[in-house]
Amino acid sequence: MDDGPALARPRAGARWRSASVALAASLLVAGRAVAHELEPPAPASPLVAPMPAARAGNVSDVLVPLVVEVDAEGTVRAAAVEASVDDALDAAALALVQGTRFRPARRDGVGVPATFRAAVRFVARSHGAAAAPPHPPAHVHGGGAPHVHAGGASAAPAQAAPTEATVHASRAPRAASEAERDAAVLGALPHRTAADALRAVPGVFVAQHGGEGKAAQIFLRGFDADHGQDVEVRVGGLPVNEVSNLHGQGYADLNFVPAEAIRRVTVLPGPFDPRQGDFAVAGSVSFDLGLAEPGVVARGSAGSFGTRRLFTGYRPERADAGTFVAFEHFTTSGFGPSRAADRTSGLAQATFDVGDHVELRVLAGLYAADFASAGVLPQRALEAGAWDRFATLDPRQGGASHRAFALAELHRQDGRDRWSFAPWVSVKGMSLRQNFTGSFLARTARGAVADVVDGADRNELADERGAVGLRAEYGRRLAAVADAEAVVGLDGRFERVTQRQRTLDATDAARRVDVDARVRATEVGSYGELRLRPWPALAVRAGGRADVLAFGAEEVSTLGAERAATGAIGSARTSAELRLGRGAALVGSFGEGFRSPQARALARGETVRPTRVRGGELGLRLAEGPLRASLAAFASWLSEDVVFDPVTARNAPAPGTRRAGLAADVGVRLGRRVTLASSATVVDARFRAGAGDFAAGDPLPYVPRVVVRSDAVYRAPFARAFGRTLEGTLGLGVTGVASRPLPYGEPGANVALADARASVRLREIELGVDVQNLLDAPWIEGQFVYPSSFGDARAVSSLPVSHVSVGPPRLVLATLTLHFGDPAP
Amino acid sequence: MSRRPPSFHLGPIVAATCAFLGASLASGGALGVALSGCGAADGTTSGQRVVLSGTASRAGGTSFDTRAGWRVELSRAVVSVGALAYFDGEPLFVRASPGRAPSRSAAFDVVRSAFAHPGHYVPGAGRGETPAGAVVDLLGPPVDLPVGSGVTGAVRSATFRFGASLVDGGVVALAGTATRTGETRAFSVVLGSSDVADGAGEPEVVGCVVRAPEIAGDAHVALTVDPSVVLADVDFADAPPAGASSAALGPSSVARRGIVRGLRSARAYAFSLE
Repeated sequence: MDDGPALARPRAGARWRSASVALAASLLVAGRAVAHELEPPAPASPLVAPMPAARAGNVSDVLVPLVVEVDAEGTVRAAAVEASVDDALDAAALALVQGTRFRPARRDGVGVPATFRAAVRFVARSHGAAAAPPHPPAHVHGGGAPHVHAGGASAAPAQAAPTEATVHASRAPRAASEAERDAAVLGALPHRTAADALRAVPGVFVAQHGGEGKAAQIFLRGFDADHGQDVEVRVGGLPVNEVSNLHGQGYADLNFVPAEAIRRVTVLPGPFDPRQGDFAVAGSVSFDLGLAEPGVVARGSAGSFGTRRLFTGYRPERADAGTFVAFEHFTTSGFGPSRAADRTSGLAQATFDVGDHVELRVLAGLYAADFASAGVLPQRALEAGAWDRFATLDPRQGGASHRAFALAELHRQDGRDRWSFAPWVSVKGMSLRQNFTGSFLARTARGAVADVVDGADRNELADERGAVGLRAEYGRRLAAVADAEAVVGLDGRFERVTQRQRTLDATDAARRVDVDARVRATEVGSYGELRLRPWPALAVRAGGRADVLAFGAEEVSTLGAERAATGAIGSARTSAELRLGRGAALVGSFGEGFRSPQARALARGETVRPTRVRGGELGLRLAEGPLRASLAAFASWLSEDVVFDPVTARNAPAPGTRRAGLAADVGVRLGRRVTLASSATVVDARFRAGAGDFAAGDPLPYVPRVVVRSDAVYRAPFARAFGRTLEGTLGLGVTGVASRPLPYGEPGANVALADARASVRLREIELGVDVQNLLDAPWIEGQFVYPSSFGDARAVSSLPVSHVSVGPPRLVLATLTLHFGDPAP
Repeated sequence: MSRRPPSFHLGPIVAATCAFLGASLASGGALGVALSGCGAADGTTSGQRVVLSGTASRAGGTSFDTRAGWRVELSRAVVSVGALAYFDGEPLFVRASPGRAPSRSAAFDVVRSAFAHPGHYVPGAGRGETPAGAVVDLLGPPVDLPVGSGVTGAVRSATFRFGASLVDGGVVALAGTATRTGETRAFSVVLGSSDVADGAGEPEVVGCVVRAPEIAGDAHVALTVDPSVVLADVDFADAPPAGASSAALGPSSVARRGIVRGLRSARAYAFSLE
């Protein structure tokens, strides 16, 4: 912790000090830098007690980890045991901490509310309290940033147990509906991938219609973001969306992230933050990585349909949760033909204090996957029993993907100034064999009918790319204006892409080359923001962003001339929070964003005109005790949109659209035992203009109007065995999706799914059962309306019909987890 | 180590959890239903499904002059009508529509192109279909076509397909006389599917013109076949003279080949939507 100039500098008055605390705390959301300015809470007296008589036999000290909420005055508002040791020690630890006065978390010398981790040390009677070993330095972190050594005053109580603090209460949201789900929820429910975990995020529904290795289709607040075109996705700060991906703009494959390595998922709807760049149309999703507990974890799972999974991870004992290494291997035969998949992923992240207030965070990973895909079935034929529910009409579909990446973030906080510098590099590739139309295109292409065979429309695409990028940011507190900070930043990337798409014949040989191109994409964005707090209860952030987009494309097979196009776009971003007291706040946001066009769609010299979005939101947030809730009304307008086109097997341009809706989110956390989270999003999305097949005022097809999600997690010790506490965990997640309008009035399928996890842990050994689709609901995951020709169809119908990809049936996985490393030696 | 009785009270927890989940889901669902019109997918997004009735009949008279100078009198004209299909693509011989801007996705469109160049027809999106099943006597009154289905939207072209074989083994039967400068020839021809098949081997004629090209709701399709167009360029010089024992045109007959060419002409078939 930096206790230098920023802390020592006198302030004009209490009002402005208070304002600065809130403002500075709000910066936690944005980056690491502000975390340095926080002084963590510290107990007025050491959290140390003699070992209770019931544990008199213990020869070593025992730590009971706690989560403590302390208000701005240092009074304990709530405390809960994070990892139960036994009932007696848990109760004794809670009693001790609740009777302890804390020096509150401070910013610039002013107390702020904080929720943090602490531990009570029970000293073995043979040692005596005085013999307690020195504790490691306290840590402070926020906004998903890596930890910062606090040192200084926070380390003063020499006998205090380790304290790790995360300030939540004073974090100023960018939008009322900004939400996050942490490991307490994510880790207690069955999520096989990071995309699965997104279902727990308010307003998000995720579908997988292309096999367990392809990027999921993401729906967010009235947007069919397809594979990521409308949602900016970052993992550990690394951009995941791919510019001008051949299969889908903004393609964001999250299968490389093991679910256990997700510490927190944050969704920021709308383009309200100047840092949000390309694809932040519906919003941004950010994954913070880390392992939940120190030590080694090894998890093996086996279950339905030949599914096997191995996960291993390691987090150093004295490192923060963000320092870890993780490995995952997953294989399945799939719940039907052409649904097998294999994937392997390795992730590692570490933070280093390199001195002089500079910290380095390094993230790197490797990933490879190979998967089959069952494709789609005509819905009426399926309902008529012509095909089995899990049949495939073209068993040669599937794909593969791979990636390697690294990100290094340097960060420095010194007095009024802070900066960060985060270059990254990524090499990725993917291939897809897909057939949405059977042999329809071939049969309806003049002159080719006699040669048409089933599956003649199958094509194979490949997209290989290398990308480098950078985000750098500088922030400075303004001397002339109290409690104000100016931030400027640079956010850019360069991607070099090789793309190929071929139509295949029955032997998978190329029948026709559809695309053979090289693409380059350069995006450079600069942003700035001024953060003010004109009154203690009001925080205002106003800024903007300017982006220059430069694309080049060359059609290799046709020897076409290289095309280059550039364009620039400016976006305003602003938000304001008005605190109403008693934990309530009114938050308003407005912003402009963009989605870049496909580079290959541009002509030489054309001015790049990205899809523009304007969005606004107004809502209430409440954070009082264990309750977190928000209710927001939102709206957005797009200059143009895209809708799935089966002919090209990707989205095609459509007229502009508008969206309006409500988003509600409520969460209750009762200590560590009970975590409840529930959200509902209702949105109406319609075309603003008519063109082609779309009429003004009509609903945007495929987008669900209602998305509901509820998660409930209960953890508790319930018995003792072998001198250890037996802890049980129950998790239940329910997803509901309703009212999906489809083209030509076709009925959209609703979704109601329940997933559950139950586990029992005896400290080092944990046995669990994961059940996805608990009720074995026969649900439809993907739904598309267009003409096709599957099977024997000499007389091809050209009328559009509904096609579906069927969702998985009940999947059961038994899991054995071994935890090595004892947080309470 | 002392063993403790379980302190895990599952019942209240399960009840509370279920209550929370139930309440939140119910409230979310109710909110959604209230705000989205009871959950039904209103609107058409975009267009709706429609029913297409239809009739087929002759255009023009039974007696007409051809460009080759023949005066034709028809005595038999029967066509087996197969499945008909309607598309939004421009018909043959129509230039790209100036009213529609090229798609920005044209650079990566693989097949679909809604714009036809002269001599090159691309059907585009399907708008409707009429199933096969009608045999039309072009010398008689209009014949009802089987009821078909479609979707609303622009219809610019159609595909005419010949249907199942007639009683005498063909899909088209034409007979009559042709007179030029006092010389009268008789002709009679029955053509099968293979005779009228196009270059792709299909007994169909693509790119036919559709008049009143819009389906706004349930519609009536009026198909007309114009024998004067079919026979417009036929030279009957090698047809048997009138009064011959047989008027049948041989396989190598110039007149027969002319009739086949006429039957393959998209201009012989016209569609209108009402």
